[in-house]
Amino acid sequence: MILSFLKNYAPPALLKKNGVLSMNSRNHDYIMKYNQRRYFPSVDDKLLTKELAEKAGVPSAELIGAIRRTHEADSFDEMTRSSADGFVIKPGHGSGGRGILVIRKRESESFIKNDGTVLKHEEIRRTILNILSGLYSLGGQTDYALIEKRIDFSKIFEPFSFQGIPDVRIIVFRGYPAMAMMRLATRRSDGRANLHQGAVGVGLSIRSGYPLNAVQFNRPVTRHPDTGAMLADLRIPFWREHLLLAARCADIIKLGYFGADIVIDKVRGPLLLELNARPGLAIQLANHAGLKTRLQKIESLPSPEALSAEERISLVRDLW
Amino acid sequence: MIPGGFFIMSVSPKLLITAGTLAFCALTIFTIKVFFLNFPVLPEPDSELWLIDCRIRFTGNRSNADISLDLPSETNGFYLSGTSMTPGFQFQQKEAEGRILPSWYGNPGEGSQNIRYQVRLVPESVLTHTKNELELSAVPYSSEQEKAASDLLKTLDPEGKLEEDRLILKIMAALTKRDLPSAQILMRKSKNESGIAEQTVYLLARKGIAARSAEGIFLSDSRRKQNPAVLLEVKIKEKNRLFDPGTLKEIAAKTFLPLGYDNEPLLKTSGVNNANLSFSVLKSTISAANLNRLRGNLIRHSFLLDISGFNLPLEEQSVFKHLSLFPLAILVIVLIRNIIGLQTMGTFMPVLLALAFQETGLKAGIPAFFLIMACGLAARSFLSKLNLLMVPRISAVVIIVIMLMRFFSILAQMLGISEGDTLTYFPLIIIAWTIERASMVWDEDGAGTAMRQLAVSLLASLPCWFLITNQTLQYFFFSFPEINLFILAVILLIGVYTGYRLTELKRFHILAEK
Repeated sequence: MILSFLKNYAPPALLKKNGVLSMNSRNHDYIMKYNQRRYFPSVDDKLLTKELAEKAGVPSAELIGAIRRTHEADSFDEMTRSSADGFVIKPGHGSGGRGILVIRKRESESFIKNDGTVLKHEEIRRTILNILSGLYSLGGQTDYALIEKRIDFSKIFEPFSFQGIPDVRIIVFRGYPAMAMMRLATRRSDGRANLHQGAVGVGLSIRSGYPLNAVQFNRPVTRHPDTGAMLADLRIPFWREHLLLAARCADIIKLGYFGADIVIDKVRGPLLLELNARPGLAIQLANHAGLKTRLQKIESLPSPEALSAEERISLVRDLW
Repeated sequence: MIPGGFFIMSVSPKLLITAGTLAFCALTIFTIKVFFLNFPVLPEPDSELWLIDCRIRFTGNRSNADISLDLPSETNGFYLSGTSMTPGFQFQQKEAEGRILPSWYGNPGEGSQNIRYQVRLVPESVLTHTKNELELSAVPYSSEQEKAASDLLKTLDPEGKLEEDRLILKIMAALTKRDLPSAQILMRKSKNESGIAEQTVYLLARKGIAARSAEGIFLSDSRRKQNPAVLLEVKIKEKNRLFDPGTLKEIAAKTFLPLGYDNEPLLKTSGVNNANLSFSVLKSTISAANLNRLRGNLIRHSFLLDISGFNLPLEEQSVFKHLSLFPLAILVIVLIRNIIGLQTMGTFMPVLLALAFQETGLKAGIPAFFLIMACGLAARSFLSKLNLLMVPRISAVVIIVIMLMRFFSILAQMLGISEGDTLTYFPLIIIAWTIERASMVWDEDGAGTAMRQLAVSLLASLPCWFLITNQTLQYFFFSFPEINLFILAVILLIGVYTGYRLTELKRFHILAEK
């Protein structure tokens, strides 16, 4: 019994040999070393991220407006009147996809959610008030609500996702893309793209964007559990643009180690969804590969300021 | 299974020096206290403590009286710590050259009077223990006494081959009986025991043996009202031995407490008549912690004891006694989170929970915790339907929790369950926040995750509870607070532990294949 129990635990030496990055090492050797605290707001504050991204020519969802005060809560109605194709309300300092409300369609006074639920004005107002009170923000500080145009996501991923928008997460270290995965929402994850909630993570080749391996709840899968689609058939269009977009973000936010979440808009192509200064470690499971090996390799590459984003991605595309 | 990869640390020299210094200081102070100041490492239920009641009787003669004692501040492995038990006199206590000099001054009026002075004997530490070196005494003999001395020695030990102890006993016997003319000459001046001791010292000095007379008391329980006895202290083969001229026997050194030497008076008086000093000896017991406190009071100049907190008022000491195990509990939390890798609900919630359990006991505490959490979560889920903003919502939860505690306490009382009031020990705000977080996790990640995190927090509180309620540890950490520096050093080192957490070994186990 003890043996079968131990079978679920890997010998640390083997993990080390395979270059698996641990939480303690991520925090100590990368986040603390490469991410100065004073630059955290540039990723934790979504409006600031958008502004910086815009300047550097990194496309993101179109901004409708921001609501900062409780008494302005009703103004979302006015702001979104012209957005018939839907809009998204999200906390300015949210994390992990919490507190995000996606309205697919607006029909005069009713708002239709992605899953078809119809919301009234009052319910949306409540969501905004919750955001403002800091319910979803880090540390519970008061927050603002960001309203963006809904991304009209490309139909090509439809067979691979149960509701929700599939996004590509790329870990960028010193300006070089280090590892990538696609996150697919499932019924278990309640349409959300968080791996710990049950979304499927598909590891992607940095070179080609082709799928390498897939996991759900840390266990390998070959098909999407709800749609049954073969995950090996997943193809990401504009792969080079994905990498370029992620690498460019490094030029604007001054963080050495972050995760860039990218979605594809039907019309505009790859868009930056958000940046994360503390990207999770599950990407290693999705890729069935250790991240540390790659990070150590990147540490030996030339300083990111010396190269353009194009040069950097062509460098790493040859590595992995 | 301790592969190298598990213990990867990237330790900077600065950190290594800081942690090393902290650990070194901790261990140094600890070593000094244990080996040189004799702090017991484990609580000894009953340490011995001798109490000596000194009673000075005298008759007042209407003039101003000046009475003083001359006692050693340490002797025979004890520190002496005295308090005057007599009001109505100006009391003063000087300390000089290893002596304590309590003195009383005032006008006692007429008649028989008493002054009481209580001395506690605190077992001494090795560090300050100084051995009194015996020296060869000068002999102030006249030529007649000189001749009598050599006659006596020749009579008692004609061949000069007697063992020292036999010779001493023979000399004292001869001086006591005084049937030899030489003994009569020597004992002409004083015929009591201190005279015998004095003459023996001189006789021994002629034989090249160092000796002195020692005045003191016998340490045996319940010897009430003993007058100071004079013994002979002799250095034989590098060992100081005691002989009693009264009983003509050797006395075990442990049972005698020398207070003065060479007939220096212990009691000095002026302005009174018939002064007399007597002692009562009482053996009592004392807890190890209190003994440490006494030691602390005695060697106040030692900074080690100042920082160990024994000089604080008793009330504050008991506060610190509760806090003294906190660092250890915090270390457990650090281990659980950074080495084992379990997520608790709120970083230090388990410690606070353990603190509550300390008051309630586990048997009553755990059901009480579940009860309050269940009701709180129910209340919170109702509140979430009311669409309240965060701060008012949490405030409402706090108030509901207060009322629930009151309600359950009263209910328990009515039902005759004595554990009912245990609810009040739970830290209110912490419980309210835990309810808030639990309900948020519940909403976000489902009831399973919320319950699991709560269970982990509860589980983590158990080792904390076990540690902070352990009497032995409590004594240890209160007596040796420097161990906290050591814990600090360990926590600093864990701060740079970049290896895998135990839970990660499971999480990433599929990555070990390849």
